[in-house]
Amino acid sequence: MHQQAKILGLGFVLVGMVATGATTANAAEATTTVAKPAGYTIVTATFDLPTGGQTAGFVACPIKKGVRTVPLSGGALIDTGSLQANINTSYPTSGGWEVFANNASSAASTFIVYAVCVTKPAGYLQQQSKAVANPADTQNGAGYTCPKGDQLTGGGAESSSRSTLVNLNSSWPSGTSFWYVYMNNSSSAPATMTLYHVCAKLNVSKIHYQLVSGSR
Amino acid sequence: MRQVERVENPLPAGLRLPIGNPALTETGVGVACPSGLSTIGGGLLSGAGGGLGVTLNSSFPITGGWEGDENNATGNPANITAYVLCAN
Repeated sequence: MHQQAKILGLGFVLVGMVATGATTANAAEATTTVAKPAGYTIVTATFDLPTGGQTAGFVACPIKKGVRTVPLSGGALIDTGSLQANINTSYPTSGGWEVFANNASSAASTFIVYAVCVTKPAGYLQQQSKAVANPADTQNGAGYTCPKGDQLTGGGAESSSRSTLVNLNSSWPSGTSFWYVYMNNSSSAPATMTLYHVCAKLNVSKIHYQLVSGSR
Repeated sequence: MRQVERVENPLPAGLRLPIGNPALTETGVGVACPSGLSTIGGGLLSGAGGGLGVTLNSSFPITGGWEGDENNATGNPANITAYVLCAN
């Protein structure tokens, strides 16, 4: 059962194409007068998600004023209410966001990859951890902390497994400098996961920066 | 079995407001930035009861917030919390 409609409050204006290999791609910008970081854009790319396997999708940050913007964060929306479709991997690259989506159901679907992109801020840093064990039939958790004084902007994890039985249970900012991940491995083969975070030296004396949690 | 490789402040005090996700259900969740701030990052935390059958179906930014959907393919209730990092 799908309890809540997908995309609860999407209010974008679609302004361009920014991805390759996708069925559709869009750059989206907020229509309100909310102050945004320089070069701010949420970009998306849509991909087919066939049954019985795992599919990769990537969206690139756009070039603005001759320079490619950088990802602060990203994610994915799988367009199905099936309990057998989920995210295996979601992590930043140097110029965008990469996702591997699982579909173990009997129905084909699609998925959208998202990236929040900005003009490269001061102290911008993407880091990846050493590979962390994710044994068979186990859910494993691990965290990754930004350098002291930096602010967290996003994060994720990459699984070594291409099995649809390996997927993310949780991936979230557990504080303003700490990204945490729980990865499920329901398969019979051992795997590893690599954590990623994106950090920057935001001038918090001049801007507002805040972590909010909850539900609606 | 849930293993914990390394835990540093995984659940900040006062920042956890999960909603329930019944057995055999996909549940959506979202959280908004304060007025005047833009989404720069976010994610989802599956809470109590989260076993191998509880998975992230979706987790993605929207204008002014973060949304997602959690699959609960188990026979037990689970829960889900959305987090968003905001800035201007």
